Amino acid sequence: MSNEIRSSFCPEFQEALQRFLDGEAGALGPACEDHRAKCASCHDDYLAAVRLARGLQLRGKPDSPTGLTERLVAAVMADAIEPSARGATRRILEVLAVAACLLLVIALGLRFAPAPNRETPNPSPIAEVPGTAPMTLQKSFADAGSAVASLTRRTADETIEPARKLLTAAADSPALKADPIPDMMDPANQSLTRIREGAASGFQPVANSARRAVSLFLRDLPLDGERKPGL
Amino acid sequence: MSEDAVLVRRCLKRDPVAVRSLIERFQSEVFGLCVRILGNRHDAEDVSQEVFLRIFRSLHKWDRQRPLRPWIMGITVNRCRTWLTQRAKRPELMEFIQETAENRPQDDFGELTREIAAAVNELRADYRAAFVMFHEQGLPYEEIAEAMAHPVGTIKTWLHRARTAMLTRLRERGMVPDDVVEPVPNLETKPKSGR
Repeated sequence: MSNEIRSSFCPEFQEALQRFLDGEAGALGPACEDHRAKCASCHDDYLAAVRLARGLQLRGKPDSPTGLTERLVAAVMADAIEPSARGATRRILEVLAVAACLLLVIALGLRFAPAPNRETPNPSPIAEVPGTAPMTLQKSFADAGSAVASLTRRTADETIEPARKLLTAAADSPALKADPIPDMMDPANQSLTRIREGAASGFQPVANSARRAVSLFLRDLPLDGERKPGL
Repeated sequence: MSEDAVLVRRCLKRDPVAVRSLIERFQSEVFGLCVRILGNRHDAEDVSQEVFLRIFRSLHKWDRQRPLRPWIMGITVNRCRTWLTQRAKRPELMEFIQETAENRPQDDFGELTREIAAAVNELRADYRAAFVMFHEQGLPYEEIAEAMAHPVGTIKTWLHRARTAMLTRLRERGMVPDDVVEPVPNLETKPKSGR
């Protein structure tokens, strides 16, 4: 074997060896056989390739565990029942995401918008459009609040509407008119009232905290001339 | 309409017979690929379940003009990749089962198959997936390329490198005889397309 033989035909032999492993009939032709007889390295590669091919034939595929089909079918069929629940959750998350984005946009807008110049006597060179008042901070917050409130109200209305229709239909029912709901509903009614009061009292501190946070935020907003460098 | 399309349509209507039929048809390939890529039968079983859940959730996205098998194998490869990434983040004592005792060939080639299993396990995950899909599952280059979302040329390169690495390992481990002592295997049963 000489280096000249290796450099001239070895790459071609290696390609033929790959085609042989691909399963191509006659990939290793007479030229390859001649080369193999002269080149020890390619001969070793050929032997290794034959060994690899033989081992792959013997190896086979892994056996599936017992009962795997049953478990997969059960899992898939169970999963098919859940999409409606997943859809409801997704809708709620979408509404929350929209509300969060809205708040973020408003907050960023307030943070980076130029504040009205209250102390500078020189008026802005850009004339205000007659009839349009400049938007104040409070107004922006009011707008944001009303937007979130309307979004929440609309979602709540969509949720409550079926129950409302059901109650209306039930109230119009002649059976109920003839025989009103007896006093046995009172304990449940009282429980619901207590729950409502409890919830209201529970949310009160949260609402107060939120109000205080907004107040603090408004107080800390820089006025004209107080802007921090780089902001 | 192709047989695949009919089956998928019935599966979309949650026909239990069709669901079972689809699972039975691809379960062996999916599980086999998972075992080879993950090197662990327990993980492979978990990932197989994830794969089939994902298949049925996104069956409506399958393009009827394309074959179903590479699409399913693509989902399998992706889930295995994700699993490998997650497993790398939580180092724990893993029991890698290459071949169970009862599956181990009892002839003279037992050592050879174990060496091949170990060599496959040492390959890069992409190379391993391509190698297993070609040599064990008989997928043609085009279907492997579609499953792995890479061009056919890339798959050929990966397979070439994987084989070269395995040949080197077999030589280093003394698994190659001095001369041919066995008949040259007929590999022509492998897929024909894509060559």
